[in-house]
Amino acid sequence: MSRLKKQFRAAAKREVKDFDSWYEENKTAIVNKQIYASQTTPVVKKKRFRLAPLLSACATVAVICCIVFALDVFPTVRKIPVNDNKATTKNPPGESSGQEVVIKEADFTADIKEIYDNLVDEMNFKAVIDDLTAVKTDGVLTNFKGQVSVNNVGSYSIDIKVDADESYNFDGKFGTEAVQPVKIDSFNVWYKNETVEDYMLKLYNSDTHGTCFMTVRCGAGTQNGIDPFLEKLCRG
Amino acid sequence: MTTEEFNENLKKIVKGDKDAWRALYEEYYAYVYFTAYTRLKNRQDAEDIATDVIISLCSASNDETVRNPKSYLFVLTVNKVKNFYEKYYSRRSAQEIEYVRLTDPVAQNEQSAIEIGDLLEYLPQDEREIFVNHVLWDIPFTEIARQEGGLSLSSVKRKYKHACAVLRKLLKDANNK
Repeated sequence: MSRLKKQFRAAAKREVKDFDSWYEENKTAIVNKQIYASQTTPVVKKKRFRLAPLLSACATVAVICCIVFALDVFPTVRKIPVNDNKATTKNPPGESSGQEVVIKEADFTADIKEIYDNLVDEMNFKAVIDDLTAVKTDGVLTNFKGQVSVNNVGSYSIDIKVDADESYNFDGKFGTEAVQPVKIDSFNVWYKNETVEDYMLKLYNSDTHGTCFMTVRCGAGTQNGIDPFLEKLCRG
Repeated sequence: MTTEEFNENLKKIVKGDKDAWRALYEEYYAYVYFTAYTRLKNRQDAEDIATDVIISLCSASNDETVRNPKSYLFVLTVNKVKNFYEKYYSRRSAQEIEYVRLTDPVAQNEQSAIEIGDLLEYLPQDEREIFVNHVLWDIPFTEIARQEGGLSLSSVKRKYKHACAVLRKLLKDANNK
């Protein structure tokens, strides 16, 4: 400790009143405080379990998995050849001819079959794509709808929309306006309880691959169970 | 005073142990007083704050054990000063609360020992706070820089060195007289 420091501390203590006079001056206040403190029950602070960080971490992991899943799978799926039942008249960009074409299952599952067949063999859980259909609305989008079951966890409804025309505008068409999206890279992500027992995660991506929009729907308590499945799909 | 002794004294003062009161008073009252004084620039108000802080230690024994007595008291003091300032000073006019700096505190104290409180008046507000926080409360410069907000570590060190130089010179002059 420097000399000045010592000097200053000593002088500071010298300059204040001596204890006895201070005690006499404030005796009433001191006694009142003592009485109040002795009557007050000691506060035992309970450590509160904080759920928010846990939920936040789970939600973040789920969102990241879904994003990677979307990035990895969609470009592959979009390369799938579609039946040549195109309308003969050319529509303006972003406008639908209203013609819907069902894509053959063999066409679009060929690319992802290899991925989900491996799931059964390699993973401890069994994930089965129960049902998957694809409908292309000419000039607008291709819509994949399906059901994925993970054993002992639950069933997930997947709805994937991939634009068929880059100028098609997804904004305001999927009922996400009420929830503020979180921007992660090129994705807008909505994550909310749609009802008490129904969770919904929506992704909207607009990048060099085009635009895709995905909704994963599941019951309460099963929202984290899809993670391993998505993770596996992402790794491909 | 060690942390254990401090916590022991907190328990004793609730039971009315005068020696415990004395120990706490003699160890910390001056620090609390000068911290309040450097901020409020009024001796009477600083005394009120210091008394309030020391007496409020009675309630501290009801809370969890105090892990760092100096930090605890420093934060308690600064918060009480803030509350006091908002409660009373915000209603006063600027002229009323303007700090009346002594023209030459050293000269005024020729007959008596030079007072630290007077010497501090020679320092600008920021240097005064930095000096008191570091010297009395042992707060590291990095922490002071964080509290002061916007000041770099080197600025805090420079201001502290300047404050020390001014005070040394004043003390030397006072001793020569």
